[in-house]
Amino acid sequence: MTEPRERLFKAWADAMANTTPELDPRTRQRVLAAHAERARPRAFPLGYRWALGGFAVAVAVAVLVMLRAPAEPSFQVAGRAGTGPIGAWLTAEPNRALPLVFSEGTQVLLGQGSRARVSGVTRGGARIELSRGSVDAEITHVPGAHWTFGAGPFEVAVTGTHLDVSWAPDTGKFELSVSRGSVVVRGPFIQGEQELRAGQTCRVDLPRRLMELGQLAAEQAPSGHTSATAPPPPSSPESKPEAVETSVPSASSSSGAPRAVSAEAWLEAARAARLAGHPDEERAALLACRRRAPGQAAAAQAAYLLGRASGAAEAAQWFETYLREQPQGLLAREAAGRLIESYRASGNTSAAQTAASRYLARYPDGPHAPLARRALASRSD
Amino acid sequence: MATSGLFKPDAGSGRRLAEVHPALAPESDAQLVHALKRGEAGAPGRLYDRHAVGVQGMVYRLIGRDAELDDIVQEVFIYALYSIDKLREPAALKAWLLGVAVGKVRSHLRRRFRRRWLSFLPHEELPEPPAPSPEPAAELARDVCGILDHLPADERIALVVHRIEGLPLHEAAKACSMSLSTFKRRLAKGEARFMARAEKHPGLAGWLGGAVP
Repeated sequence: MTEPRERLFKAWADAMANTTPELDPRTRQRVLAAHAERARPRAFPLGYRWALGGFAVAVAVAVLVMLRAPAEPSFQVAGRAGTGPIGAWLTAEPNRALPLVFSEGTQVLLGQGSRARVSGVTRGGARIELSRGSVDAEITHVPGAHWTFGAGPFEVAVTGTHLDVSWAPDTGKFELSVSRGSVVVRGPFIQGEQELRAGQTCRVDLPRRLMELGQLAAEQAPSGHTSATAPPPPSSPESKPEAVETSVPSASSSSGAPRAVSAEAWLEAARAARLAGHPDEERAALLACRRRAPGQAAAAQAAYLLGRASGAAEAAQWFETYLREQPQGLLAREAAGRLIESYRASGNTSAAQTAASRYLARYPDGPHAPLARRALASRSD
Repeated sequence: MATSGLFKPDAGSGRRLAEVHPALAPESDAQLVHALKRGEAGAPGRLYDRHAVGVQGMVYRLIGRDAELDDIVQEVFIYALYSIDKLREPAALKAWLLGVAVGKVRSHLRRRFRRRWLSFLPHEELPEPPAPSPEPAAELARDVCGILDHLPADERIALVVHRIEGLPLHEAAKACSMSLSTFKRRLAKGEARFMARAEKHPGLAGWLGGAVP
Protein backbone atom coordinates (compact mmCIF):
# COMPACT_ATOMS: atom_id res chain seq x y z
CA MET A 1 0.00 0.00 0.00
CA THR A 2 3.11 2.21 0.17
CA GLU A 3 2.98 3.08 -3.52
CA PRO A 4 -0.59 4.38 -3.56
CA ARG A 5 0.14 6.32 -0.40
CA GLU A 6 3.20 7.96 -1.95
CA ARG A 7 1.15 8.63 -5.05
CA LEU A 8 -1.47 10.40 -2.97
CA PHE A 9 1.13 12.47 -1.17
CA LYS A 10 2.70 13.50 -4.47
CA ALA A 11 -0.66 14.41 -5.96
CA TRP A 12 -1.44 16.31 -2.80
CA ALA A 13 1.85 18.26 -3.00
CA ASP A 14 1.26 19.02 -6.67
CA ALA A 15 -2.30 20.10 -6.03
CA MET A 16 -1.17 22.48 -3.30
CA ALA A 17 1.61 23.85 -5.51
CA ASN A 18 -0.80 24.40 -8.39
CA THR A 19 -3.39 26.09 -6.27
CA THR A 20 -1.22 28.37 -4.15
CA PRO A 21 -2.90 31.76 -4.29
CA GLU A 22 -1.17 34.91 -5.48
CA LEU A 23 0.68 36.82 -2.86
CA ASP A 24 -1.26 39.93 -1.94
CA PRO A 25 1.05 42.91 -2.67
CA ARG A 26 -0.53 44.83 0.20
CA THR A 27 0.97 42.31 2.65
CA ARG A 28 4.46 43.60 1.82
CA GLN A 29 3.36 47.18 2.46
CA ARG A 30 1.77 46.22 5.74
CA VAL A 31 4.85 44.33 6.90
CA LEU A 32 7.20 47.18 6.08
CA ALA A 33 4.86 49.77 7.58
CA ALA A 34 4.55 47.78 10.79
CA HIS A 35 8.31 47.34 10.96
CA ALA A 36 8.91 51.05 10.37
CA GLU A 37 6.39 51.90 13.10
CA ARG A 38 8.12 49.61 15.57
CA ALA A 39 11.58 50.83 14.66
CA ARG A 40 10.64 54.49 15.03
CA PRO A 41 11.98 55.88 18.28
CA ARG A 42 9.12 56.96 20.46
CA ALA A 43 9.20 60.35 22.02
CA PHE A 44 8.78 60.03 25.74
CA PRO A 45 6.01 62.36 26.90
CA LEU A 46 7.11 65.02 29.33
CA GLY A 47 4.71 63.75 32.00
CA TYR A 48 6.29 60.32 31.91
CA ARG A 49 9.74 61.85 32.18
CA TRP A 50 8.69 63.71 35.29
CA ALA A 51 7.06 60.60 36.74
CA LEU A 52 10.16 58.55 36.01
CA GLY A 53 12.37 61.20 37.54
CA GLY A 54 10.19 61.33 40.64
CA PHE A 55 10.27 57.57 40.94
CA ALA A 56 14.05 57.54 40.65
CA VAL A 57 14.35 60.18 43.36
CA ALA A 58 11.98 58.21 45.61
CA VAL A 59 14.02 55.04 45.13
CA ALA A 60 17.23 56.93 45.87
CA VAL A 61 15.74 58.39 49.06
CA ALA A 62 14.46 54.98 50.14
CA VAL A 63 17.89 53.45 49.58
CA LEU A 64 19.51 56.28 51.52
CA VAL A 65 17.09 55.84 54.42
CA MET A 66 17.70 52.10 54.45
CA LEU A 67 21.44 52.65 54.47
CA ARG A 68 21.21 55.17 57.29
CA ALA A 69 18.74 53.13 59.33
CA PRO A 70 20.36 51.09 62.03
CA ALA A 71 20.85 47.49 61.09
CA GLU A 72 19.59 44.70 63.30
CA PRO A 73 22.22 44.32 65.99
CA SER A 74 23.79 41.01 66.72
CA PHE A 75 25.47 40.23 69.97
CA GLN A 76 28.21 38.15 71.42
CA VAL A 77 28.36 36.52 74.78
CA ALA A 78 31.66 37.00 76.57
CA GLY A 79 33.78 33.89 76.48
CA ARG A 80 31.74 32.23 73.75
CA ALA A 81 32.51 32.09 70.07
CA GLY A 82 30.12 33.22 67.39
CA THR A 83 26.93 35.22 67.48
CA GLY A 84 24.79 35.00 70.57
CA PRO A 85 21.64 32.92 70.31
CA ILE A 86 18.30 34.73 70.04
CA GLY A 87 15.70 33.39 72.45
CA ALA A 88 18.02 31.14 74.46
CA TRP A 89 18.21 31.73 78.18
CA LEU A 90 21.60 32.83 79.50
CA THR A 91 22.59 32.38 83.11
CA ALA A 92 25.51 34.15 84.74
CA GLU A 93 27.59 32.14 87.19
CA PRO A 94 26.84 32.79 90.88
CA ASN A 95 30.11 34.62 91.43
CA ARG A 96 30.63 36.22 88.05
CA ALA A 97 28.71 38.67 85.86
CA LEU A 98 28.11 37.83 82.21
CA PRO A 99 28.65 40.59 79.60
CA LEU A 100 26.74 40.71 76.32
CA VAL A 101 28.19 43.02 73.67
CA PHE A 102 25.97 44.14 70.82
CA SER A 103 27.23 44.99 67.37
CA GLU A 104 26.13 48.63 67.55
CA GLY A 105 27.99 49.20 70.78
CA THR A 106 25.39 48.48 73.45
CA GLN A 107 26.69 46.52 76.41
CA VAL A 108 24.48 44.54 78.72
CA LEU A 109 25.86 42.97 81.85
CA LEU A 110 23.95 40.14 83.48
CA GLY A 111 24.49 40.35 87.21
CA GLN A 112 25.92 37.43 89.18
CA GLY A 113 23.54 34.51 89.08
CA SER A 114 21.09 36.38 86.84
CA ARG A 115 19.07 34.69 84.14
CA ALA A 116 17.97 36.53 81.00
CA ARG A 117 17.62 36.18 77.30
CA VAL A 118 17.66 38.30 74.18
CA SER A 119 14.23 37.38 72.91
CA GLY A 120 14.39 39.36 69.69
CA VAL A 121 16.28 41.98 67.75
CA THR A 122 14.91 44.71 65.52
CA ARG A 123 16.54 47.34 63.35
CA GLY A 124 16.50 49.71 66.28
CA GLY A 125 17.54 47.50 69.14
CA ALA A 126 16.55 44.39 70.96
CA ARG A 127 14.28 43.02 73.65
CA ILE A 128 15.84 41.53 76.73
CA GLU A 129 13.79 39.51 79.17
CA LEU A 130 15.04 39.18 82.70
CA SER A 131 13.87 36.06 84.44
CA ARG A 132 15.68 36.83 87.69
CA GLY A 133 18.56 38.90 88.93
CA SER A 134 19.74 42.12 87.37
CA VAL A 135 21.06 43.64 84.21
CA ASP A 136 23.19 46.72 83.79
CA ALA A 137 22.72 48.14 80.31
CA GLU A 138 24.68 50.84 78.54
CA ILE A 139 22.54 51.55 75.50
CA THR A 140 24.29 53.22 72.61
CA HIS A 141 22.18 56.12 71.43
CA VAL A 142 21.73 55.85 67.67
CA PRO A 143 18.86 57.31 65.59
CA GLY A 144 15.80 55.09 65.80
CA ALA A 145 17.16 53.06 68.69
CA HIS A 146 14.50 51.25 70.68
CA TRP A 147 15.26 48.78 73.43
CA THR A 148 12.85 47.10 75.76
CA PHE A 149 13.42 45.14 78.91
CA GLY A 150 10.90 42.80 80.42
CA ALA A 151 11.23 41.92 84.08
CA GLY A 152 8.31 39.81 85.32
CA PRO A 153 5.21 41.99 84.99
CA PHE A 154 7.32 45.14 84.42
CA GLU A 155 8.22 46.69 81.11
CA VAL A 156 10.99 49.19 80.54
CA ALA A 157 11.38 51.02 77.23
CA VAL A 158 14.54 52.95 76.49
CA THR A 159 16.19 54.78 73.63
CA GLY A 160 19.71 55.65 74.72
CA THR A 161 20.69 55.45 78.33
CA HIS A 162 22.47 53.68 81.12
CA LEU A 163 20.23 51.77 83.45
CA ASP A 164 20.09 48.97 85.95
CA VAL A 165 17.11 46.66 86.16
CA SER A 166 16.66 44.00 88.77
CA TRP A 167 13.80 41.61 89.36
CA ALA A 168 13.37 39.01 92.08
CA PRO A 169 10.35 36.85 91.26
CA ASP A 170 10.48 34.99 94.56
CA THR A 171 10.16 38.16 96.61
CA GLY A 172 8.23 40.21 94.05
CA LYS A 173 10.73 43.08 94.15
CA PHE A 174 11.55 45.18 91.14
CA GLU A 175 14.07 47.95 90.95
CA LEU A 176 15.10 50.27 88.18
CA SER A 177 17.72 52.98 88.30
CA VAL A 178 18.68 55.30 85.48
CA SER A 179 22.18 56.76 85.37
CA ARG A 180 21.85 58.57 82.06
CA GLY A 181 19.07 59.36 79.60
CA SER A 182 15.47 58.48 80.33
CA VAL A 183 13.23 55.44 80.31
CA VAL A 184 9.55 54.64 80.51
CA VAL A 185 8.43 51.91 82.86
CA ARG A 186 5.07 50.18 83.15
CA GLY A 187 3.83 47.57 85.58
CA PRO A 188 1.84 46.83 88.71
CA PHE A 189 1.45 49.78 91.09
CA ILE A 190 2.74 52.12 88.42
CA GLN A 191 -0.13 54.18 87.16
CA GLY A 192 0.00 54.28 83.39
CA GLU A 193 3.53 54.90 82.22
CA GLN A 194 6.14 56.30 84.53
CA GLU A 195 9.03 58.21 83.01
CA LEU A 196 12.31 58.06 84.84
CA ARG A 197 15.10 60.50 84.11
CA ALA A 198 18.80 60.36 84.89
CA GLY A 199 19.43 59.95 88.60
CA GLN A 200 16.00 58.53 89.41
CA THR A 201 15.07 55.12 90.71
CA CYS A 202 11.86 53.20 90.86
CA ARG A 203 11.22 50.37 93.27
CA VAL A 204 8.16 48.19 93.47
CA ASP A 205 7.52 45.71 96.23
CA LEU A 206 4.60 43.58 95.15
CA PRO A 207 3.86 41.84 98.47
CA ARG A 208 3.87 45.14 100.31
CA ARG A 209 1.98 46.96 97.53
CA LEU A 210 4.66 49.57 97.55
CA MET A 211 6.03 51.72 94.78
CA GLU A 212 8.80 54.15 95.52
CA LEU A 213 10.33 56.78 93.31
CA GLY A 214 13.71 57.94 94.53
CA GLN A 215 17.05 59.47 93.68
CA LEU A 216 20.28 57.67 93.10
CA ALA A 217 22.93 58.14 95.79
CA ALA A 218 25.60 60.70 94.95
CA GLU A 219 28.13 58.08 94.01
CA GLN A 220 25.68 56.63 91.52
CA ALA A 221 24.70 59.94 90.00
CA PRO A 222 24.93 60.34 86.22
CA SER A 223 28.47 59.55 85.25
CA GLY A 224 28.42 58.46 81.62
CA HIS A 225 30.70 55.55 82.35
CA THR A 226 30.23 52.08 81.03
CA SER A 227 29.62 50.09 84.12
CA ALA A 228 30.87 46.55 84.20
CA THR A 229 30.00 45.80 87.76
CA ALA A 230 26.97 44.01 89.01
CA PRO A 231 24.25 46.35 90.24
CA PRO A 232 23.67 46.58 93.94
CA PRO A 233 20.86 44.50 95.33
CA PRO A 234 17.49 46.24 95.77
CA SER A 235 18.09 46.66 99.48
CA SER A 236 21.48 48.23 98.97
CA PRO A 237 21.92 51.38 101.03
CA GLU A 238 23.46 53.16 98.04
CA SER A 239 20.14 53.30 96.33
CA LYS A 240 17.97 54.05 99.28
CA PRO A 241 15.13 56.18 98.01
CA GLU A 242 13.95 59.41 99.47
CA ALA A 243 10.78 57.75 100.68
CA VAL A 244 8.54 59.13 97.93
CA GLU A 245 5.73 56.71 98.60
CA THR A 246 2.80 56.87 96.30
CA SER A 247 -0.78 56.33 97.37
CA VAL A 248 -1.03 52.80 96.09
CA PRO A 249 -3.57 50.84 98.12
CA SER A 250 -2.81 47.62 99.84
CA ALA A 251 -5.30 44.95 100.66
CA SER A 252 -4.55 45.23 104.32
CA SER A 253 -5.65 48.84 104.31
CA SER A 254 -8.65 48.29 102.14
CA SER A 255 -11.14 48.67 104.91
CA GLY A 256 -9.95 52.16 105.63
CA ALA A 257 -8.86 53.18 102.18
CA PRO A 258 -8.09 56.81 101.80
CA ARG A 259 -10.43 58.71 99.49
CA ALA A 260 -7.40 59.84 97.46
CA VAL A 261 -6.86 56.32 96.18
CA SER A 262 -8.62 55.91 92.89
CA ALA A 263 -10.78 52.97 91.89
CA GLU A 264 -8.34 52.25 89.08
CA ALA A 265 -5.54 51.93 91.60
CA TRP A 266 -7.57 49.31 93.48
CA LEU A 267 -8.07 47.44 90.24
CA GLU A 268 -4.34 47.61 89.62
CA ALA A 269 -3.69 46.34 93.13
CA ALA A 270 -6.07 43.45 92.51
CA ARG A 271 -4.24 42.60 89.31
CA ALA A 272 -0.89 42.65 91.09
CA ALA A 273 -2.25 40.44 93.84
CA ARG A 274 -3.49 37.96 91.28
CA LEU A 275 -0.11 37.97 89.56
CA ALA A 276 1.58 37.41 92.89
CA GLY A 277 -0.77 34.50 93.59
CA HIS A 278 -2.70 36.06 96.50
CA PRO A 279 -6.39 35.51 95.75
CA ASP A 280 -7.59 36.77 99.11
CA GLU A 281 -5.81 40.05 98.65
CA GLU A 282 -7.11 40.30 95.12
CA ARG A 283 -10.62 39.88 96.44
CA ALA A 284 -10.07 42.47 99.15
CA ALA A 285 -8.79 44.98 96.62
CA LEU A 286 -11.78 44.39 94.35
CA LEU A 287 -14.23 44.83 97.18
CA ALA A 288 -12.42 48.02 98.18
CA CYS A 289 -12.73 49.21 94.62
CA ARG A 290 -16.48 48.69 94.73
CA ARG A 291 -16.73 50.61 97.96
CA ARG A 292 -14.52 53.38 96.58
CA ALA A 293 -16.46 53.98 93.39
CA PRO A 294 -20.03 52.75 93.68
CA GLY A 295 -21.96 53.05 90.45
CA GLN A 296 -18.85 53.71 88.36
CA ALA A 297 -17.53 51.61 85.54
CA ALA A 298 -14.53 50.57 87.64
CA ALA A 299 -16.84 49.17 90.31
CA ALA A 300 -18.74 47.16 87.71
CA GLN A 301 -15.45 45.87 86.36
CA ALA A 302 -14.54 44.86 89.90
CA ALA A 303 -17.84 42.97 90.10
CA TYR A 304 -16.96 41.11 86.94
CA LEU A 305 -13.49 40.28 88.27
CA LEU A 306 -15.03 39.16 91.56
CA GLY A 307 -17.31 36.85 89.58
CA ARG A 308 -14.33 35.42 87.81
CA ALA A 309 -12.51 34.87 91.09
CA SER A 310 -15.45 33.40 93.04
CA GLY A 311 -17.16 30.04 93.38
CA ALA A 312 -20.06 29.23 91.05
CA ALA A 313 -22.98 30.39 93.20
CA GLU A 314 -21.39 33.66 94.25
CA ALA A 315 -19.93 34.20 90.78
CA ALA A 316 -23.45 34.20 89.31
CA GLN A 317 -24.41 37.04 91.66
CA TRP A 318 -21.38 39.09 90.66
CA PHE A 319 -22.07 38.59 86.97
CA GLU A 320 -25.69 39.59 87.52
CA THR A 321 -24.37 42.67 89.29
CA TYR A 322 -22.15 43.57 86.38
CA LEU A 323 -24.96 43.13 83.87
CA ARG A 324 -27.27 45.22 86.00
CA GLU A 325 -24.74 48.03 86.38
CA GLN A 326 -23.24 47.91 82.88
CA PRO A 327 -25.79 46.26 80.56
CA GLN A 328 -23.98 47.74 77.53
CA GLY A 329 -20.50 47.42 79.00
CA LEU A 330 -17.50 46.01 77.21
CA LEU A 331 -17.68 42.86 79.32
CA ALA A 332 -21.45 42.41 79.05
CA ARG A 333 -21.36 39.56 76.53
CA GLU A 334 -18.69 37.69 78.45
CA ALA A 335 -20.51 38.28 81.74
CA ALA A 336 -23.77 37.00 80.24
CA GLY A 337 -22.03 33.85 79.03
CA ARG A 338 -20.24 33.24 82.29
CA LEU A 339 -23.53 33.76 84.07
CA ILE A 340 -24.92 30.69 82.27
CA GLU A 341 -21.82 28.71 83.20
CA SER A 342 -22.10 29.77 86.85
CA TYR A 343 -25.77 28.86 87.17
CA ARG A 344 -25.20 25.51 85.50
CA ALA A 345 -22.18 24.79 87.69
CA SER A 346 -24.16 25.64 90.81
CA GLY A 347 -27.03 23.38 89.72
CA ASN A 348 -29.54 26.19 89.26
CA THR A 349 -31.05 24.88 86.03
CA SER A 350 -33.99 27.24 85.76
CA ALA A 351 -31.79 30.30 86.29
CA ALA A 352 -29.31 28.91 83.75
CA GLN A 353 -32.12 28.55 81.21
CA THR A 354 -33.33 32.07 81.84
CA ALA A 355 -29.80 33.37 81.41
CA ALA A 356 -29.43 31.26 78.26
CA SER A 357 -32.63 32.75 76.76
CA ARG A 358 -31.38 36.25 77.48
CA TYR A 359 -28.00 35.44 76.00
CA LEU A 360 -29.38 34.00 72.76
CA ALA A 361 -31.80 36.89 72.33
CA ARG A 362 -28.91 39.30 72.48
CA TYR A 363 -25.94 37.32 71.16
CA PRO A 364 -27.27 34.56 68.89
CA ASP A 365 -23.80 34.07 67.39
CA GLY A 366 -21.82 34.72 70.57
CA PRO A 367 -19.14 32.38 71.87
CA HIS A 368 -21.48 31.01 74.56
CA ALA A 369 -24.38 30.47 72.13
CA PRO A 370 -23.77 26.69 71.84
CA LEU A 371 -23.72 26.40 75.64
CA ALA A 372 -26.91 28.46 75.85
CA ARG A 373 -28.64 26.17 73.34
CA ARG A 374 -27.56 23.12 75.29
CA ALA A 375 -28.95 24.70 78.46
CA LEU A 376 -32.29 25.32 76.76
CA ALA A 377 -32.34 21.86 75.19
CA SER A 378 -32.07 20.29 78.62
CA ARG A 379 -35.39 22.03 79.46
CA SER A 380 -37.17 20.46 76.46
CA ASP A 381 -35.77 17.07 77.44
CA MET B 1 28.49 51.18 -25.09
CA ALA B 2 31.29 51.66 -22.69
CA THR B 3 31.72 49.03 -20.12
CA SER B 4 33.46 49.27 -16.85
CA GLY B 5 36.10 46.86 -15.76
CA LEU B 6 33.72 45.43 -13.25
CA PHE B 7 31.13 44.38 -15.76
CA LYS B 8 31.52 42.01 -18.66
CA PRO B 9 28.61 41.65 -21.05
CA ASP B 10 29.17 37.93 -21.35
CA ALA B 11 29.05 37.37 -17.64
CA GLY B 12 25.50 36.17 -17.73
CA SER B 13 25.17 34.73 -14.24
CA GLY B 14 25.53 36.06 -10.74
CA ARG B 15 28.15 33.44 -10.10
CA ARG B 16 30.37 34.87 -12.80
CA LEU B 17 29.73 38.42 -11.62
CA ALA B 18 30.84 37.36 -8.20
CA GLU B 19 34.05 36.15 -9.62
CA VAL B 20 34.62 39.66 -11.01
CA HIS B 21 33.74 41.57 -7.84
CA PRO B 22 32.20 40.34 -4.61
CA ALA B 23 29.96 43.38 -4.38
CA LEU B 24 28.07 42.21 -7.44
CA ALA B 25 27.38 38.75 -6.04
CA PRO B 26 23.84 37.99 -4.92
CA GLU B 27 23.39 38.76 -1.28
CA SER B 28 23.51 35.62 0.83
CA ASP B 29 21.04 34.99 3.67
CA ALA B 30 23.83 35.56 6.16
CA GLN B 31 24.65 38.93 4.61
CA LEU B 32 21.00 39.84 4.61
CA VAL B 33 20.71 39.00 8.29
CA HIS B 34 23.73 41.14 9.09
CA ALA B 35 22.17 43.99 7.12
CA LEU B 36 18.96 43.59 9.10
CA LYS B 37 20.83 43.56 12.37
CA ARG B 38 22.67 46.71 11.35
CA GLY B 39 19.32 48.35 10.63
CA GLU B 40 20.05 48.86 6.95
CA ALA B 41 17.15 50.71 5.34
CA GLY B 42 16.30 48.39 2.45
CA ALA B 43 16.98 45.11 4.24
CA PRO B 44 13.41 44.41 5.47
CA GLY B 45 12.09 44.74 1.92
CA ARG B 46 14.77 42.41 0.58
CA LEU B 47 13.94 39.85 3.28
CA TYR B 48 10.30 39.88 2.29
CA ASP B 49 10.99 39.76 -1.45
CA ARG B 50 13.31 36.83 -1.11
CA HIS B 51 11.28 34.64 1.26
CA ALA B 52 7.66 35.70 1.05
CA VAL B 53 6.74 33.19 -1.66
CA GLY B 54 8.33 30.31 0.23
CA VAL B 55 6.71 31.27 3.51
CA GLN B 56 3.33 31.80 1.94
CA GLY B 57 3.51 28.46 0.12
CA MET B 58 4.34 26.62 3.29
CA VAL B 59 1.60 28.36 5.25
CA TYR B 60 -0.85 27.51 2.48
CA ARG B 61 0.18 23.85 2.50
CA LEU B 62 -0.28 23.78 6.25
CA ILE B 63 -3.66 25.47 6.55
CA GLY B 64 -5.12 25.38 3.05
CA ARG B 65 -7.19 28.14 1.59
CA ASP B 66 -7.97 30.26 4.58
CA ALA B 67 -9.13 33.82 4.96
CA GLU B 68 -6.26 34.44 7.35
CA LEU B 69 -3.52 33.18 5.06
CA ASP B 70 -2.14 36.63 4.27
CA ASP B 71 -2.44 37.68 7.89
CA ILE B 72 -0.29 34.77 9.00
CA VAL B 73 2.36 35.55 6.39
CA GLN B 74 2.33 39.13 7.59
CA GLU B 75 2.71 38.01 11.22
CA VAL B 76 5.65 35.79 10.30
CA PHE B 77 7.60 38.62 8.73
CA ILE B 78 6.74 41.18 11.37
CA TYR B 79 7.91 38.76 14.03
CA ALA B 80 11.04 37.91 12.06
CA LEU B 81 12.00 41.54 11.59
CA TYR B 82 11.38 42.28 15.23
CA SER B 83 13.27 39.24 16.49
CA ILE B 84 16.09 39.02 14.01
CA ASP B 85 18.60 39.47 16.84
CA LYS B 86 17.51 36.09 18.22
CA LEU B 87 18.74 34.33 15.09
CA ARG B 88 22.10 32.87 16.08
CA GLU B 89 23.04 31.32 12.74
CA PRO B 90 22.50 33.92 10.01
CA ALA B 91 22.98 31.31 7.30
CA ALA B 92 20.00 29.37 8.64
CA LEU B 93 17.60 32.23 7.89
CA LYS B 94 15.27 30.17 5.72
CA ALA B 95 14.93 27.34 8.23
CA TRP B 96 14.37 29.87 10.97
CA LEU B 97 11.62 31.57 8.97
CA LEU B 98 9.96 28.21 8.42
CA GLY B 99 10.12 27.58 12.16
CA VAL B 100 8.49 30.93 12.81
CA ALA B 101 5.82 30.13 10.24
CA VAL B 102 5.13 26.75 11.85
CA GLY B 103 4.71 28.46 15.21
CA LYS B 104 2.27 30.99 13.82
CA VAL B 105 0.34 28.28 11.99
CA ARG B 106 0.15 26.17 15.15
CA SER B 107 -1.35 29.12 17.02
CA HIS B 108 -3.77 29.74 14.19
CA LEU B 109 -4.90 26.11 14.04
CA ARG B 110 -5.51 26.04 17.76
CA ARG B 111 -7.47 29.27 17.53
CA ARG B 112 -9.48 27.82 14.68
CA PHE B 113 -10.12 24.64 16.67
CA ARG B 114 -11.42 26.63 19.62
CA ARG B 115 -13.53 28.77 17.33
CA ARG B 116 -15.11 25.65 15.88
CA TRP B 117 -16.53 24.98 19.32
CA LEU B 118 -18.10 28.38 19.44
CA SER B 119 -20.94 27.24 17.22
CA PHE B 120 -23.37 29.14 19.38
CA LEU B 121 -21.97 32.37 17.94
CA PRO B 122 -23.98 34.01 15.17
CA HIS B 123 -22.78 32.79 11.80
CA GLU B 124 -21.80 36.23 10.59
CA GLU B 125 -19.02 36.23 13.18
CA LEU B 126 -17.41 33.10 11.70
CA PRO B 127 -15.28 33.25 8.54
CA GLU B 128 -16.93 32.43 5.25
CA PRO B 129 -16.02 28.95 3.99
CA PRO B 130 -14.12 29.03 0.67
CA ALA B 131 -16.22 28.35 -2.44
CA PRO B 132 -15.71 24.93 -4.06
CA SER B 133 -13.61 24.93 -7.22
CA PRO B 134 -14.34 22.74 -10.26
CA GLU B 135 -10.61 22.12 -11.01
CA PRO B 136 -9.35 18.64 -10.01
CA ALA B 137 -6.23 19.96 -8.29
CA ALA B 138 -8.28 22.41 -6.28
CA GLU B 139 -10.75 19.66 -5.48
CA LEU B 140 -7.98 17.36 -4.24
CA ALA B 141 -6.47 20.18 -2.19
CA ARG B 142 -9.85 20.88 -0.66
CA ASP B 143 -10.47 17.21 0.16
CA VAL B 144 -7.06 16.80 1.75
CA CYS B 145 -7.45 19.95 3.81
CA GLY B 146 -10.87 18.73 4.89
CA ILE B 147 -9.24 15.64 6.38
CA LEU B 148 -6.35 17.60 7.85
CA ASP B 149 -8.87 19.72 9.70
CA HIS B 150 -9.70 16.67 11.81
CA LEU B 151 -6.09 16.08 12.88
CA PRO B 152 -4.50 17.57 15.98
CA ALA B 153 -2.42 20.61 15.07
CA ASP B 154 0.96 19.05 15.84
CA GLU B 155 0.21 15.88 13.88
CA ARG B 156 -1.06 17.88 10.94
CA ILE B 157 2.02 20.06 10.92
CA ALA B 158 4.37 17.07 11.18
CA LEU B 159 2.66 15.36 8.28
CA VAL B 160 2.72 18.38 5.99
CA VAL B 161 6.21 19.57 6.84
CA HIS B 162 7.77 16.18 6.16
CA ARG B 163 5.52 14.58 3.53
CA ILE B 164 4.44 17.60 1.50
CA GLU B 165 7.05 20.25 2.24
CA GLY B 166 9.69 17.57 1.86
CA LEU B 167 11.93 18.57 4.76
CA PRO B 168 14.17 15.76 6.06
CA LEU B 169 13.14 14.41 9.44
CA HIS B 170 15.70 16.21 11.55
CA GLU B 171 15.09 19.56 9.80
CA ALA B 172 11.35 19.10 10.05
CA ALA B 173 11.63 18.33 13.75
CA LYS B 174 13.74 21.45 14.25
CA ALA B 175 11.25 23.60 12.35
CA CYS B 176 8.49 22.23 14.56
CA SER B 177 10.53 22.85 17.73
CA MET B 178 10.30 19.16 18.64
CA SER B 179 12.81 16.46 19.42
CA LEU B 180 13.31 13.99 16.63
CA SER B 181 11.61 11.19 18.54
CA THR B 182 8.60 13.34 19.37
CA PHE B 183 8.38 14.45 15.77
CA LYS B 184 8.47 10.86 14.57
CA ARG B 185 5.68 9.91 16.95
CA ARG B 186 3.52 12.81 15.84
CA LEU B 187 4.23 12.05 12.20
CA ALA B 188 3.30 8.38 12.60
CA LYS B 189 0.08 9.18 14.42
CA GLY B 190 -0.85 11.93 11.99
CA GLU B 191 -0.18 9.77 8.98
CA ALA B 192 -2.21 6.90 10.40
CA ARG B 193 -5.15 9.15 11.15
CA PHE B 194 -4.93 10.77 7.75
CA MET B 195 -4.82 7.48 5.88
CA ALA B 196 -7.71 6.06 7.88
CA ARG B 197 -9.90 8.97 6.90
CA ALA B 198 -8.59 9.13 3.33
CA GLU B 199 -9.52 5.51 2.74
CA LYS B 200 -13.11 6.33 3.61
CA HIS B 201 -13.20 9.57 1.69
CA PRO B 202 -14.93 9.15 -1.70
CA GLY B 203 -12.67 11.70 -3.37
CA LEU B 204 -9.44 10.20 -2.06
CA ALA B 205 -10.12 6.49 -1.79
CA GLY B 206 -9.39 6.09 -5.49
CA TRP B 207 -5.78 7.22 -4.99
CA LEU B 208 -5.28 4.49 -2.45
CA GLY B 209 -7.11 1.77 -4.28
CA GLY B 210 -4.67 1.51 -7.16
CA ALA B 211 -6.68 3.35 -9.77
CA VAL B 212 -5.94 6.97 -10.30
CA PRO B 213 -9.16 8.95 -10.41
